[in-house]
Amino acid sequence: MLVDYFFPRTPVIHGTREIFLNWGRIAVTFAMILGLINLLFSNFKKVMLQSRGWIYNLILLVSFAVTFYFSVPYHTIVKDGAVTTLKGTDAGTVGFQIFMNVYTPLSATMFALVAFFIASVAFRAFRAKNIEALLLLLSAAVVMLGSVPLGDAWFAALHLDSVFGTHNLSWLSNFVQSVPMSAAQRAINLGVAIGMVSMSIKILGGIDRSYFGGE
Amino acid sequence: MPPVLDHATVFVAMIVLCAIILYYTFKTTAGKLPKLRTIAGLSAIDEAIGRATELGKPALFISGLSDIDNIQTLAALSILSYVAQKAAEYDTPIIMPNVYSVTMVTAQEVVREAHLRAGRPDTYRPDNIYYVSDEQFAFVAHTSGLMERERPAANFYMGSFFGESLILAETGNATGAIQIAGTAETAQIPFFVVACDYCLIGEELYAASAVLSQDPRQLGSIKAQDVVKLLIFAVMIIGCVSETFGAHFLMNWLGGS
Amino acid sequence: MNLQNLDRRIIFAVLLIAVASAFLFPRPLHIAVEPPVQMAYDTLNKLQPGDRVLMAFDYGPSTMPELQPAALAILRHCFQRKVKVVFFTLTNEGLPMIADALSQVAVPLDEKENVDYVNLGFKWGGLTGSSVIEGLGSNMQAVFPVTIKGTAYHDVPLLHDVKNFSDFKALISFSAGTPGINEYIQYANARYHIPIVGAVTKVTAPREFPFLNSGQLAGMCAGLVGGAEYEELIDHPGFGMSGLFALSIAHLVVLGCIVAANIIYFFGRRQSSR
Repeated sequence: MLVDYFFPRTPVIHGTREIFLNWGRIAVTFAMILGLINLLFSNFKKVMLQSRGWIYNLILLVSFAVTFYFSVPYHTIVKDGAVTTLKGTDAGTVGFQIFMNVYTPLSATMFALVAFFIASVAFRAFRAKNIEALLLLLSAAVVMLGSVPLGDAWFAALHLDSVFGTHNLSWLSNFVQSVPMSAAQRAINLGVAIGMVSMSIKILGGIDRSYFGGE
Repeated sequence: MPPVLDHATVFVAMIVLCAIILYYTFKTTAGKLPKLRTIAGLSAIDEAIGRATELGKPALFISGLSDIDNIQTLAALSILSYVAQKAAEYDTPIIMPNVYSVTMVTAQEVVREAHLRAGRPDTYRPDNIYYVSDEQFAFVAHTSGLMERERPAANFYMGSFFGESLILAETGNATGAIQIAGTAETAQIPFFVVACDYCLIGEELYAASAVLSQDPRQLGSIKAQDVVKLLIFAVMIIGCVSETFGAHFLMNWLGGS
Repeated sequence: MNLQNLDRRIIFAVLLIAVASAFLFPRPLHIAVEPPVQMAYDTLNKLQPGDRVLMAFDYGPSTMPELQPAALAILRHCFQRKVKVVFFTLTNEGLPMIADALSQVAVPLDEKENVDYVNLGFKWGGLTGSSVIEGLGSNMQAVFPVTIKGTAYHDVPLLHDVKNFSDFKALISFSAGTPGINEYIQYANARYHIPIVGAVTKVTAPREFPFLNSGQLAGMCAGLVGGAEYEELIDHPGFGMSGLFALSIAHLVVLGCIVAANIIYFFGRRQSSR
């Protein structure tokens, strides 16, 4: 892979890379089957043993069976005299309806929890106990207010826009994000990139074997 | 004739980087270990496992939401090896839900070996390390429910996390667990910093296995990373000065592919 | 009740009531367009009728509220300029997002499939999507031999002379994580020099500012606000604009939590020092 990045116009290297990529895709597919078997087996075991909360394991197994039945096969439908073959996840199939009407709202709901947790974290952790904490909460306030139109409106109403010349709060918010925040991110990214290369060399060279159980 | 080698600058930089890392890795011997600053998150692992033992509760370990081909997952599994050994010594169960099955299988092996090293092979429970779902929020929903039901006393979030990081950290905080996180995802670091007790930031995650094992060669590679950083700082300063005075040689060389 | 350890359910209830009220009693807000969004608009405004762009819908239902407004606005802008659009995605969750965008924009504008736009569907490219992105850069037909509806590549009028990235004027990425905009910058822009315009979630937007500053990213919409700004530019208000007031209220509630927490903290410290 690495050699192909530097010598992409060499057919032998490029071809070998494609072979390895295909092997990887096949292996990942079988790995998914392995995970599926593990999931079904562990939930089935809990249902059979009637462990604590076994009803939820049963719901999982039933949901899996229903979604699998409707999503995997091909369906032939007749519409306006024409016969059409749809995949299980095409628009108009039950599988698609399950995805749009069950999975989509559930997924969006889980992500919406982040908003509530941000509010509770803001109450709990953003206290000006020292200078660093004060800087943190001030920059958080500037970026949050500057990200929405109400922030600019308030700034103008309080006549604070003249403090920064012709710039408003959203300019300040952009400035914080594009200058000091970018600088800090670049610094972290630099360290991360070097750390990644170092760790990769240690793993490829067998120097660090702790990730698969060695010392 | 078209050039055979693409990205010549990157190639040269890679060779130099690897050479420095390999040099310091093999140069460092047991007698002259480099001095590393204390990483609070790693020092707190023993305290976290001890707390879980005292309360009679399990420890929860999450190795991120990426597959085994992500280097952060491998770094997380290195930390898991240490955490699992400590947990085995204290007879504290480790629960580890997984997003990918290959990671699950690797983690099972890591934990099993850790129990063997601790001399407690009988306490290894493969059922505690299981696959949940490839889907991000399905995994998060399961793990949040697990935290509410099992009430682990110590939570470890190591690896690659995305939008779910705050959900996990806040749920864990609400259950009163001591939480140690580590990620190289810059967008999620702030969430872990405010919501967890300890956080490994960026490269500290990759340095963890060296710090925990105290292996001379791995510690040498940490020193090599610092040398590389100094080299990059020197290039940056030379670049800034040269650009200021109108000499664009460095920019042309680095900006070319 | 110790206010410093206030039950977080009270905070959740306050946020819920505030945001629900904002949706029930909305107010229009004037929005100023930020430079990254203006850059994105200017880049796409330079396109000529008949030019082709690639659109990558690499997000799912969880980030739909943040990214769909920008996606719909940018798609509408492209169709308004008679630009041909080729859709694809590196994540299976992106397929319904493309279907939704087409039903909301392409169908009402009477755009013709395979002539004005084509949906190539989903192709898995690994953790980074690199194999797909590099395949698109060298031989698109090898990566997507058929469209999502099963039409052969050479039977699609829009694609009959398209080989790779060089036949496109821009790649527009709507992404919520990995693979996403960083991978397109890394593989598509760095190697094949195709301009990249992006829409990302607000949380990941700061990560992209270095690429904006260096010119590797030709414009960016961040979150729902970015989508609303783009709607303002094309003068077609949608969900982005309608969600702005509720978003503003949510931000104010969080800010209120910070202020309240600090007031309670300082009063608590004064009382304990007495």
